[in-house]
Amino acid sequence: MIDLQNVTGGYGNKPVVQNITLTFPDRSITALIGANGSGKSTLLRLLCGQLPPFGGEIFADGEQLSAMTRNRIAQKIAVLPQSRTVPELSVETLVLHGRFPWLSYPRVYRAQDRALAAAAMARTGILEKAQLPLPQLSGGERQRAYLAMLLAQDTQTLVFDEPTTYLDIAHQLDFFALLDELRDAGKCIVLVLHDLSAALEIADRLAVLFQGKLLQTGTPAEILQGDTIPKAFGVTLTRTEQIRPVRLI
Amino acid sequence: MTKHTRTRAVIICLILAVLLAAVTALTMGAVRIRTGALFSGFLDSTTAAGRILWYVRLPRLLAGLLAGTALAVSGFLVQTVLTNPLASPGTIGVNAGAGLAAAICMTFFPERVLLFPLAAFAGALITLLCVYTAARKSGASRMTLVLAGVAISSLLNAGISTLVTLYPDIMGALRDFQNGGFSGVTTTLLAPAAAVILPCVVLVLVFSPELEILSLGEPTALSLGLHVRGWRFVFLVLAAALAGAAVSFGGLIGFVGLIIPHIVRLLLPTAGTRTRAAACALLGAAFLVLCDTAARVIFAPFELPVGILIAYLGVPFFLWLLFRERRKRHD
Repeated sequence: MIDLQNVTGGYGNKPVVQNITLTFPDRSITALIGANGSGKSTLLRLLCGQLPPFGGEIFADGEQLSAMTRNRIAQKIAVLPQSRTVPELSVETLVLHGRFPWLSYPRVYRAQDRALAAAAMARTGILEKAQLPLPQLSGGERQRAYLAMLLAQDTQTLVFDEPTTYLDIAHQLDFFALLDELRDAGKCIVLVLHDLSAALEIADRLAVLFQGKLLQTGTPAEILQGDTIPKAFGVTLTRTEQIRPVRLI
Repeated sequence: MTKHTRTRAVIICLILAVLLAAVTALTMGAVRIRTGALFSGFLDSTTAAGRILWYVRLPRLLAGLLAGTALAVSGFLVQTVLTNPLASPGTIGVNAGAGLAAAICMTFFPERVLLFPLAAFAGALITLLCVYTAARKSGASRMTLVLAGVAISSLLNAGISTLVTLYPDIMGALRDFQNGGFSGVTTTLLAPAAAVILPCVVLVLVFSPELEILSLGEPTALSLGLHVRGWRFVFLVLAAALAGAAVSFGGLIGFVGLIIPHIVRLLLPTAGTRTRAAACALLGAAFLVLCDTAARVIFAPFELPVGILIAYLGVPFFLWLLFRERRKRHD
């Protein structure tokens, strides 16, 4: 669980998000949404401890983030950033790095680390490519390798910044199914999504940002009732008879 | 496990390459010494062969081994930390920074030989931090970083030329220095540099897990709990120390730090960072010793500074890399 209390933060001395009080509960998928420049990515960096706040307090599972070491934070929160390098490593090596926060010197992998990494690769469907170098994979496969690394990190909270960018429709649906599974296992899931319909579809709760302020939090149904969406995005939503893709088993 | 067999085979080949290069460097030259005579030559330093081996070829061999190792590992560090395959101590101006500092030392404290490596290290570190900060602040692309390095190199070389104009006495020494080479290298110059290079290489091998996490990029490394700023600084200091130490006795030898890490990447596409760093050290040493031997032998009795020979090999390689880089993707 991540708890933000009156958090203000930004870059240099210019605040980008202001006075945000917001809880990301366990056993729930919460999506941060908002137009470009509304402060989604800044808030994401704040809540996972990558950007120190100007003011306010952030708690991870009840522990104050500012009092935790980087390593301790990494044992509680795993982040899939939007922009990633393509390191010249094998998939397995990358996924094993998910165990980095749990290793002490001389950083030798234990049997349980290898088992967790193998299970994570199997879960994201990348196990048969475990020995291939990352530059040889497609964008979607690399995404799944990174996803397996996140699972191997075995944290209570998982944070995803625009996670569907490199995924085709079938893999997006697989990814959403994985999120459902993680939520049902009691994890706290945080998503930043610019795709409004995807957010409405997948999230249990939405937090809508507008010009650096928190406009509303609630279930998708609650968010759709008010005038939050028109205000935050400058669009209205109309319900049409949807054609929905369904994953073939 | 085919992966491990391949890694082991490559490392064994590289060790053999270093040994082969060493034997070649000791036997070839103005006076040929047969391989069989090496042993007796080393045992008896009063013979002609013994004197050549002890006072000329061995220091020169050690210089090549040390400089090759230092420059290759330094290049590997810079490329990994900046996640930029075009970066190397030569291309981003670090060698030139070390060069200017060493030239200042040569001009004003010519008798303080032990000061050279220290000055070269300081020059390398300051340049590296300047280039890195500039690139970070401006959010510059990979190409911009290299262009900035070219500009900074020109500026630092202008500084060196200014010194030569004002103090023409250092011209001879400085020309050798700028060309890069090991003629006239002595154990007095080598000892302090070796005292820097060997511990630095060991530290790189010890901390290679952190280096590998750093290569995943800042957001991912942070998410995995790495203290990114601290470690990046540590590795840049190590890179500067290695490049500075090599420049302090070998002058401005470019391209080793650029070429070697790429060849290692091709040889070991999925090896971990520790294996790669070790492979860079071995290949760098073998490569520079062979190039230096070739530079001594090809135009005998004249000797080409090894830096010039490497430039002939390095520039086409760099161009190839530039075109290859344009086609690569970044997630």
